[in-house]
Amino acid sequence: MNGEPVSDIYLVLTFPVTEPERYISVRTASHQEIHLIHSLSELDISSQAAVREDLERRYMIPKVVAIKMIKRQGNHWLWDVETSYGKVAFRTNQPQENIDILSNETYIIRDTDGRRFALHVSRLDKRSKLFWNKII
Amino acid sequence: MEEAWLTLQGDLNRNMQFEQLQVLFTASKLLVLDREGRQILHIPKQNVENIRLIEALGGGYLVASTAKGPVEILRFTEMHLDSCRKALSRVEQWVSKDSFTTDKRNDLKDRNKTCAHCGRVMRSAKDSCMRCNRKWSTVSHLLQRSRAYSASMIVMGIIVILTVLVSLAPPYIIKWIIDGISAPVGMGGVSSHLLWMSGLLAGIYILQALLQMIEGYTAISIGGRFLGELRRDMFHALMKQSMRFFDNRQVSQYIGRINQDTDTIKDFMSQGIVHLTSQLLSALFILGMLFYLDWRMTLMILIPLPPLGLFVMRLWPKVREMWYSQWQSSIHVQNMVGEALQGIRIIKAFSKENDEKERFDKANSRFVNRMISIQNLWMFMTPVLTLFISLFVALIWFAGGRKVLEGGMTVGTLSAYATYLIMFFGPVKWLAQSASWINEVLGSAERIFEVIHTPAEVTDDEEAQPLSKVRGEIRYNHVGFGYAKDRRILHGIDLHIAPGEMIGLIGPSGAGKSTLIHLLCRFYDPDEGEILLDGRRLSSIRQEELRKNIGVVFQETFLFDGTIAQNIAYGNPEAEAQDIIQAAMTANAHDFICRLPHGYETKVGERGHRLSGGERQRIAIARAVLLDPPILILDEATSSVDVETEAAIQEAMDKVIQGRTTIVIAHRLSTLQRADRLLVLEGGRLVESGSHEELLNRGGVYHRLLHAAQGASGREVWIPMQEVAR
Repeated sequence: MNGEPVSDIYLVLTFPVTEPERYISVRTASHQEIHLIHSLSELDISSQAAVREDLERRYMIPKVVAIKMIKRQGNHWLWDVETSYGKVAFRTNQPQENIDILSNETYIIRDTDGRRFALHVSRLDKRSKLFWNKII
Repeated sequence: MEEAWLTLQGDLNRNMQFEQLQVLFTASKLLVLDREGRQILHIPKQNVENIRLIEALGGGYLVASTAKGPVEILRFTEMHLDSCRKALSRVEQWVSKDSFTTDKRNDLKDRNKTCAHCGRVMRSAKDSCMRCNRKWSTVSHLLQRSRAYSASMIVMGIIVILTVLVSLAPPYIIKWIIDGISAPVGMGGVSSHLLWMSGLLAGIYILQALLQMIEGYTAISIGGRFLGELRRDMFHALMKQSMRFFDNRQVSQYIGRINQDTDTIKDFMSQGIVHLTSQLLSALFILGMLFYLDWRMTLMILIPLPPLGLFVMRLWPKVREMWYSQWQSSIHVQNMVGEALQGIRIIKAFSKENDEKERFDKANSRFVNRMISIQNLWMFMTPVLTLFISLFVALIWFAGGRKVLEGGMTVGTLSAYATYLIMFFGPVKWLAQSASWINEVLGSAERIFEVIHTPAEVTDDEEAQPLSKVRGEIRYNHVGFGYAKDRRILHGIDLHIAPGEMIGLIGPSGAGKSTLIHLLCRFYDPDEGEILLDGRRLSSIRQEELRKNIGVVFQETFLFDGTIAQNIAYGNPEAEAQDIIQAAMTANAHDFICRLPHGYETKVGERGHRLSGGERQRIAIARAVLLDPPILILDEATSSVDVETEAAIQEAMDKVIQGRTTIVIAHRLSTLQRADRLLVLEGGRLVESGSHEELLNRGGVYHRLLHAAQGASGREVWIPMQEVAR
């Protein structure tokens, strides 16, 4: 700060799901913002990698990349999906109560165990989109 | 091998991929095992300096510090976060103590009961598991409910059977008539036979009409009562739910659900069941008739039934899905209306009417499209089925006609046969079409039962005892709480409030002041620790009784649409006019009420919008006063009112707190100075406690908050605490 090197900082994604590489707030241990990184591309390559690594540890939200199946069972929906963390099966309650709309194309799915999954519609394949459109 | 005294589950491996992992803690070491139970990490206890839990968004890590540096031992998503949090203090003990008693306490597991049926963790300690609710259980719930109507149902059943039997007669009588006419016997015999038969036919038609009338009457009475009871139970179930139920849901939808879903069921109970049984019965009876008339021809016409059945079965899930998505979009439309109306001031202020209209139109047209596509499906089905049946009738006329020509059948039999055939396909067609209706009904029923059967989250102990005279001693024992799993609001709150003490609660916004109060009112239960009232755990006191003893004045004062008197008497509807006036006087509300032309009978309007903020607040105070509770909770409004009103409210508060245990979320210096003791909350922790002077002299957080406030405003009376946060 003021030209002095600052240690012991942490990073906050201000838009963790919709803008995972932009608007990153750099804060001191006493919660003061010292800088807002508008975009990761502002930084040099090695810093980018360091930031990404740190963020990956702080934000553990798997992204759904493909939907294999969505089946309804009683009051629950069984999901079989491929995520950035690998294959996983989970359950949700009523979709309209457990899917948060972040933007026209980004959604958060909350399962019955309290886990959260991010979903970007445009990144889904055709089959997955068919499943998705039935649900939403 | 040593027995593990603690096992923690994780679900992510080093490469950030899902994998079931677990850490075992034994007396002398910790072990990390992978999915197959292979040991992938092993650290002797003496090498562990400490173990930390690092919480991330959506999960966390357990990290062990060793002489060689930190070692990550477990990584997990949100589902395991809570059990790790709870285990942490014991793990810390294990690390720090040389001789750790390795009693295998299973409390971590026992807290979450698992369902015997599906093996999953149950959300509520009571009742059945909500997760393994099957399709059939909806049907069985419906049947269970119908049991109350068994008498009417039996009457109905008899009428239905009679109707079906009666409706079978005409074609047979017509057969006799035709056979009688076409058989060349003596003319006199035929005409008397004709008279008798026609008379019989007329009689049957009259009987049929009568039966239909009785049937309709019974059906409507059953359906109506059923509707009433379902609605009642649904509303009761909503009232029973805890706050978290409403936090997590869009509430407007329940307005629609309570009306539409129950209406669908009513229709089904009053008409659907009658139709369903009568159609099924007629199909069976007619089939018997057909076999009786000519079994060979009947076998022939049965051939297309299996493929038809298969077709309906295949369509079934599709239709279910379509109904669901139609319902989904109708709820969406409803929520949108609800939200827009609640936020109408903001919409107008930002002149967003057109955007809202657009948003609504989009949702509405989606709803319409979905409705159309379901209807289309059946629009297509009906002509196809009709065509199918007509072709068969043609076929029968051909095959039967040849039989008549060959002398194997009379003309009357053939005519009866053809009529029965058309009658037979009637119910078949209806049953095939009703697939859609049944799906709609099942969907509605399922959603209703979901609400009715969702157990309340905050429950009382079964042996909850009645509350005798409350002294008002409050104790928080190491209370921790968060509204969502990933954000803790309160951490380890230890607090003792003596009976009659006046406590001022202060701290920057988001420090957990209101949450502390919510827990005392038992809107939520703490995740950790316990709260005692007069030495009794809150859960051992019935919620109703607890709340009767706590008067609350919230910052946002909600008034119900009704008169001022009704609003003041909300907690105690039996109150006499005199008590209401007394309460209003104590709350310094009496004078302004007297200035209103209708006095205490002035309608406040929805949410009390016809009154000013200061007026609403004093009514809320009067409401709490009338309840005369031993414990009083006041959340001082942060919004500024004029000095005179301010003084009136202040004076009211002074009168009200006499002789009660009072907790005030304070925003005004005068309140702070008057309190017996101040509690300063910061970041969910209790950081300071003492009187105004003590804390001021200490020069800690309180000093900082107060100083900042005064510096900012230059006025000593008003501390806008919300703006002083940090």
